[in-house]
Amino acid sequence: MRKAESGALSGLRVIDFSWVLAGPMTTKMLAGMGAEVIKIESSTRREHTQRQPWWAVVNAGKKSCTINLSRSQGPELIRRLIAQSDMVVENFSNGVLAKFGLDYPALAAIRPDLIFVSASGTGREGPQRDALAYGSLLQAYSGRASVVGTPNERVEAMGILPAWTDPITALWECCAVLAAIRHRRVTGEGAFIDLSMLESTVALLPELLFREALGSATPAASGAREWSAAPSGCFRCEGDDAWLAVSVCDDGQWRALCDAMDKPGLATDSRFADALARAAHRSEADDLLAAWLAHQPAGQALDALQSRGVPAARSRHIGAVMEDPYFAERGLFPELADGSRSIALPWRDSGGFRGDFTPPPRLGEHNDYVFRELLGLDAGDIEALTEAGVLR
Amino acid sequence: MSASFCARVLSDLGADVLKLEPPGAGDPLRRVGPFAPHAAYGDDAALFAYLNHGKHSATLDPSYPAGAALLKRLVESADLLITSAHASRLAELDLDGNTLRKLQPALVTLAVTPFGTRLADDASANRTDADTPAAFTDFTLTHHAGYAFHQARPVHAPSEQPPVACADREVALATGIAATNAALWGLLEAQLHGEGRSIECAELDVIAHLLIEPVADYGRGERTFSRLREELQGTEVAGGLIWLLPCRDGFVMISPREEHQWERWVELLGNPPWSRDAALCGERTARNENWMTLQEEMAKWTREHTRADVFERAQAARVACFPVSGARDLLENAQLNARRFFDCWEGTGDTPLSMPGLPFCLRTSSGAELPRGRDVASPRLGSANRAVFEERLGLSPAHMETLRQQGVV
Repeated sequence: MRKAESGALSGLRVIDFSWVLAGPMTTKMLAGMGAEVIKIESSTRREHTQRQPWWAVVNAGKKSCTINLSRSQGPELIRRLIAQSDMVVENFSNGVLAKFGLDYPALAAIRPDLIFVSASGTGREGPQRDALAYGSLLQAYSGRASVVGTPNERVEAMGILPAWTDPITALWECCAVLAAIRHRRVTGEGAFIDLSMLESTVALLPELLFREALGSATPAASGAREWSAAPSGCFRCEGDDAWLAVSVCDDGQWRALCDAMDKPGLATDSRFADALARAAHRSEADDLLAAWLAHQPAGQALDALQSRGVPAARSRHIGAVMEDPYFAERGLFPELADGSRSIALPWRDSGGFRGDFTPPPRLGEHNDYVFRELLGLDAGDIEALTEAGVLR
Repeated sequence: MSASFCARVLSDLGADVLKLEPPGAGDPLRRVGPFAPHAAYGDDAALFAYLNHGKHSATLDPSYPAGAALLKRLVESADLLITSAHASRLAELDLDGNTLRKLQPALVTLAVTPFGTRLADDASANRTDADTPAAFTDFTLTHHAGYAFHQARPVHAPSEQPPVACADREVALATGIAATNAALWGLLEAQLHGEGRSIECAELDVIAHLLIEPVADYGRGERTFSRLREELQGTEVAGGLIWLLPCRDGFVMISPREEHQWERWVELLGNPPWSRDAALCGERTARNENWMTLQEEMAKWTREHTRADVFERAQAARVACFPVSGARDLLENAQLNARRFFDCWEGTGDTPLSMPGLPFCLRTSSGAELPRGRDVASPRLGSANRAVFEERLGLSPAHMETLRQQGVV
């Protein structure tokens, strides 16, 4: 991956209280663009010591220091750090930072041009502001689970995993942050951003809402099919768990599909004459395609459809995706210096730059940098604070 | 759709956005439903309104030399050019980033496309483009990107449960937000260095980049990705210690994952006898392994209540719980409405249509706020033509008429 000459966010220091996925993914993107991100962690909190397998993926490019906020000197150290920082990112429950004297009003008094990003499940205001939320549940609350799949008691194939609300929230969060930075560079003003994970998810489901409000008979696209195409769906092919997604959007594609299936008679069948007719006979069209694909090797069927211009794709797992030369060339999944895999920025410039990422930090790896270099503590101070349980 | 959404979000953030549409019929999305029954023809498409409100619309066909010349004049005073065409197509029209930056050095160009282009260095690797599908939709692209496979993993009967794609317009809109980030990054770079750059944001890359947990699994050495759910895997594999419980009017999803939350949850259920069975649910591991039995036991209580009742009582007990929403639930959602999340699309008759707004409130240190709960309207096709071409660029009405007859505007 190519290096940027000097990152867009070089010189910006971010104090990162966030954990789990959305906040860390946001700050990882900021780090990739050149910001110095300091994670505030603590060995006294399970969230920071029991690292999930995906922890490394969303925490590359950052520094880590350990400060125990429940000791009185902890918040004071943070306030000193804020005085020389530009941004705070947090996703605590409502009221937690205020309890430590670290909420936006308190910190803006120290650093008026501070950008403070507060992400939460349902937002910091409103009747449900205190609702206890997790990303998986918000995917159900946002309506996504009902439209991706069918709610079922096994919670299978309904858009709960992989995490969707978290990374989508991260994209919105990063967007809000970049806008605030640009505003600050022009005006010198800081900003407070109250971001809702629920709203982040619902904003991507507009058609669901419009069709309901307008009384439309056609549903929005579901995880199973596109209603604007027929046949459309994910069909079983010959072989172990081999599936092909196909969507026929127009008459030309329908004729091409009939040719691929070697069923020329269907091309002139009045039930499938045009898009409206195919929509009216959707299940018959789907059945015909399913019957053909059931006896086709997926790769062979894919070639037959793609060569004729019919939208089709194999349903691939991550191994096939990461080993696809397209992604390998584009550097979307870089291997970092410590051998860990990461995910780069989802865009790139014409020089191939898509973020600079150092390996994820060990817990407290940058304590010396933070406490000695930034805060100017000497060995005696550090020893005393360590003994008092503050720096852990 | 992605490029339009990117530009709309920038408009929400305060940018002055000029949308250039093909002369004649304009953006094809103007003719894609659902439509508002009482809105004017051409301005009645809800999705088009969602993607484009707040912008100015002018018509221009840059494939004509005169059109390309006008675009170059517009670019002289622009910070950012967003296109849904690949860089190669723009180069054919002599409108690629490097050419345009001779006119406006700080110009950022952003191509928002289904697939990325190959770099010159990549091309030298003697590869073909055979690995990117020629024909695709957002639905098939989600399968190609791996997202659909992992969204149906694990399942108990993989031969009968196909992979599931993203829904609604999620793929296009997620790409639009990623592209907004790319645009803002490019603008910040240009602000810093005084030089713009060419950026591309591909839908395929955006969807694949969301696969956080699967990438982690691959990084840890996993190479075979069975979708079969093993009996002993419990509920944790479904996204945490979660249960989907039936109520009188639908479902709720709960996650009493911490010990103290579990205790408050079973207290809410009335501390039934099964809740005291340590082998069944004494610890988190037991709850995970016995999730189906617990599902049945807990459902006995939830079936007697409405979603709203379970949600409110569980949250009051500090247990994470939410109703599983449908579209009507969202439109009437108390939290979303209290936060003025929905904009109101005007011009639809007596009942304005709710449209999601930005998912964040932003207040500057001087007290200025991004507006929420706005009244928004679709830009009428070419409504900014006069202001743009005559007033800004100084074209005469006669010249405009000639360009109109030629199909340039």
